[in-house]
Amino acid sequence: MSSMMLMPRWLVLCLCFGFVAAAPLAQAAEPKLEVQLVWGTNDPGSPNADHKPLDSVTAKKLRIFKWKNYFTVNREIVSLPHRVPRKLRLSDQCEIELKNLGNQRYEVDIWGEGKHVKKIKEKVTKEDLLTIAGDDKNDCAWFILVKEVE
Amino acid sequence: MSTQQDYSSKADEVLVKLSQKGDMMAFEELVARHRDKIYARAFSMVKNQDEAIDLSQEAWVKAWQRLGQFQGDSSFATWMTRVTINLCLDYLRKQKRHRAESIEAIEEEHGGVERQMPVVTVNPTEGLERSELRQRIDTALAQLSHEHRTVLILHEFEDLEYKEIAKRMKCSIGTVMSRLFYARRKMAVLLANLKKEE
Amino acid sequence: MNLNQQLKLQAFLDNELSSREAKEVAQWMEQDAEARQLFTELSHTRAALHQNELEVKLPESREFFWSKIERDIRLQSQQPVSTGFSPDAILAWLYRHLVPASAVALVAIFAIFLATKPAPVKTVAMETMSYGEVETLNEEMGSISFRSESERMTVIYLYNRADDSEAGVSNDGLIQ
Repeated sequence: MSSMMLMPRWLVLCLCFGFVAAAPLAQAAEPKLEVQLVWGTNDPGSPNADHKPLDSVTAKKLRIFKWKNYFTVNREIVSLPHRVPRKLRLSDQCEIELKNLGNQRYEVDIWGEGKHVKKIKEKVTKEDLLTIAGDDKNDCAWFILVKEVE
Repeated sequence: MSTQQDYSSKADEVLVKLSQKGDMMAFEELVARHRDKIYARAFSMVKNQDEAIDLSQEAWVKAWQRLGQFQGDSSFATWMTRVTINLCLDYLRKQKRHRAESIEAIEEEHGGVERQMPVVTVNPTEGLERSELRQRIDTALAQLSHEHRTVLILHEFEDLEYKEIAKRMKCSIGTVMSRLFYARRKMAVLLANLKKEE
Repeated sequence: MNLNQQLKLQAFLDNELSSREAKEVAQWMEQDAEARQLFTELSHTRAALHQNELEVKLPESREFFWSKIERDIRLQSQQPVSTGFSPDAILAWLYRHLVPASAVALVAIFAIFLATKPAPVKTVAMETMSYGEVETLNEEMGSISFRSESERMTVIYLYNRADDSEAGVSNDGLIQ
């Protein structure tokens, strides 16, 4: 702080302006991913009041599956700098680690019940959704939906 | 290190054996060799370029998965064609559920129309160059329904017997016979009409 | 002539009759001009079609067509059942091909890195190489991968190998 006070005022203003301008530019270089943990069921509702029905656009994509109703259990949006891994805890049983490989390719590591299960590399964009899924109890299913967002 | 050139000189049987061991380059050579024939068979059945490309690709992927089942009783090309035909038949069956049928097509399917067609006395091949005849046959085939075209393709181009066609098309031998009969009679009329237009 | 008789004529043409039936049809045709006419028409049509299927070429280049097949094979993550299949054969193949190839690739990459300024380059190969890879880290968990182009969605469905036999787990069981 004392060294800044010795600089000419115009220089300090330029430096501040530079940092402020650079921050959003730096952010723009980092893509953002939306990750949703979704529960699929043929029951009309979820026993957990916190679970909200999945948005209709995404639910429409899942119509290729046999389940009629989908509920969002958890939803996170995460910035991914190039090659810097980010871990997300989606539920007590499910964790994933995301890594940006560049060119809209991402690596998704999945841990289920503490075990490292799969490593997936896939292209994900705003339009191209990655869906990782598996069976759950009572003929239901869980889904991890990954897509780029603004 | 093996190059694509090494594979091009190998016989199909050798390439199949290599592919069965997981050699994708050997399989790629098989694909390159037979891709036109397989695509042509798919296209002749579904009469849609994009679908034929997708179906022939699916056939190659299935073939890779089932290579262990190929015992060499027939040539690889024949076996591969059968895989393709089965895929196309499944596709056509699924499409049939959604396809709106014209009254003409329904009548054609259920028979009776062929008995009213007068016998065609002109020989459709007379005086025609082979390339022109092939083009006319292709034009006439495109005017048949999927079921009639399929039975004609399986019998005339794939040399399958009635029993085998019935098995693949999941219908009775009687249905195969009536469809084949109708298809041939219709082809005779169509080829005769094309000849008249000369 | 009824339909059954007409179909018998056709079956005679196609050698689908027993020798007794064939003899009966041959005798009938000698006496029936209408039958002979119809038989001639069927014969002409059959002869016209014989080996006269129009040749059609696949309207895609070799490389492009193969790239999609290769991608789908990898997505399906299945190996062919082979008659000479063994883990040793796979390891030998990997050692024979991938180790020298990797060494050459590393040297080339290092040389390029020294010679040029590294920059993100978007190439056609990278554009088309949008297929995914699935690495199994837990042998108990199998996976089925597929892509729905209509929904623009890649699906990787995980299943516990102990719970389901391979034959029971397929796309058809999940998808309507």
